[in-house]
Amino acid sequence: MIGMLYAPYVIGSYVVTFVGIGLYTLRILAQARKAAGQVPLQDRPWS
Amino acid sequence: MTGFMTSTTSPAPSDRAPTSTTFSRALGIAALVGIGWLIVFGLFLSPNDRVQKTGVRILYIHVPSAWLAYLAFGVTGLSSVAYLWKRTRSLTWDRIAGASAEVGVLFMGITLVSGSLWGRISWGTYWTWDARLTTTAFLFVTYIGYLAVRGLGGTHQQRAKRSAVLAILAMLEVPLVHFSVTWWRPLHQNETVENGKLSGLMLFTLFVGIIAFTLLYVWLVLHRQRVLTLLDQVDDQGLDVAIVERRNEVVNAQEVSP
Amino acid sequence: MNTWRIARLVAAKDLRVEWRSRVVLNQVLPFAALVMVMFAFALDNDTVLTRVAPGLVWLATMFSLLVIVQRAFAVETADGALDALQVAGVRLGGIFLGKAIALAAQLAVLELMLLAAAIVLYKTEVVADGIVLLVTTFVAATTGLAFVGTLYGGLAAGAKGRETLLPLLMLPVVAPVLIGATRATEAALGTENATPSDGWPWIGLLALFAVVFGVGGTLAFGSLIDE
Repeated sequence: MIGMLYAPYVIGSYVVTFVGIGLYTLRILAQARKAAGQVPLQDRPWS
Repeated sequence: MTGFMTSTTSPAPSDRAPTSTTFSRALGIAALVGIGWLIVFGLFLSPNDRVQKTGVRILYIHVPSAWLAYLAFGVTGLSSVAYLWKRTRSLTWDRIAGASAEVGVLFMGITLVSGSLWGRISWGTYWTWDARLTTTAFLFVTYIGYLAVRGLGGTHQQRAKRSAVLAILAMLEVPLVHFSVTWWRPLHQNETVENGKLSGLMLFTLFVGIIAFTLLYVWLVLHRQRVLTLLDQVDDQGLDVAIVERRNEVVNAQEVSP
Repeated sequence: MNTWRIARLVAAKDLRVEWRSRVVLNQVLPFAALVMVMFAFALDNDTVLTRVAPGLVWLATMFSLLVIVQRAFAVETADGALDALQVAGVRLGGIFLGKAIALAAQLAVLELMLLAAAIVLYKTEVVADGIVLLVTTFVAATTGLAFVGTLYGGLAAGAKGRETLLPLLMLPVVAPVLIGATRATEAALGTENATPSDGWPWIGLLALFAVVFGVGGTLAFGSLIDE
């Protein structure tokens, strides 16, 4: 795979994509944990 | 004093995944599986293109993320209409609009970066002023502006109304930008290297990408929208606490004075 | 009170404020002229300057528009004038139209000055064939810009941290005007062998833009300035 033509561009786009999505996901989950500490269980409409 | 106003809400037991439900967990797993397949097929199992060689592998990211970005902005627009229409008015629509716009900006960023890298391979340049790219860049900046306006503050309803109107203006503006840019740089000027026919396995990989990203989109919007709900509730609680404290101030003052 | 009457009163008020303070005249016009000079410093090539003069005129207009719009709403928020009008029950559509008219008048003066600057500094030549197209372009573009400026200016006015939003919100939206007005102006001036007939389709776009934001702005103005 390393010998692939244009490897930096191809791998680069996959890395940027999934790192970007991953960081955003972590951010949402962290915000969720932080905010949930102040809201009791019964107030959440989805649980 | 009624218990409602004076009771203090007890903090929730520490919760490792407060915005998860059974459905969202299943969705998340499905999305992860889809992404796994996308990477395996996209980088390894699918064949190289005759003309683009390995460049086509970027398209398995670029095309699905572009599709998701447009879907996300469409959802923002529709949710904004749903909020403004009195019969369906609910802050949930406002939060969905906001969450979808954020995820849309994320996917649009991915679209622009992956497209730029693909362009470097196929056309030799990172950017070209063709109609599609330029309109995409404008859409990107417009929604960043939308997100900035969402952060302006005020009551939840003010934020919701302001953002909803802005989203609808954006929906009007984007076709205008698209027309003007298309007349400015007609599409035939651009060397479209996208071959019409993709072979079976390549088409399959593309579909895997679209499905995986769609699942991912729904999962992200679901969670982000729930986080926004929590944040709004925390905001409201802050207001309730302030009201209770103020009331207690008055009561104490009355008790002190004869 | 009827919307048109409100519009006339608001427009007259805004223009009177400008006439007395002469902020646009004394500060914005010199700024715009300065921008034209700085383009010449940056581009440093007479042929290129003449070729891109139409674009530079409209670019300078866009940047000056940002400043004029900020000013138009600073006047309102300074003493809570806009809030007072709202509380008094004055119809917001009328305020929107009135401010847009005043803004259009100031823009017209600005654009005339910029055209004169281009003729002097960039050797732009106005040809008889293209005069009708040229005038129509300026009218159509100015109308659209006035509507957009008033709408987003209202949104960006007021609380701290908002003024910096105006360029971010407005510049993408006015892109069609920049493209259309520049192409139409190039056609009117005969730049790069363009003929006036090339320019008229762009007038269609400018007119559509003005209609969309005229109607949309009148309807949306109230929601966006809601403090």
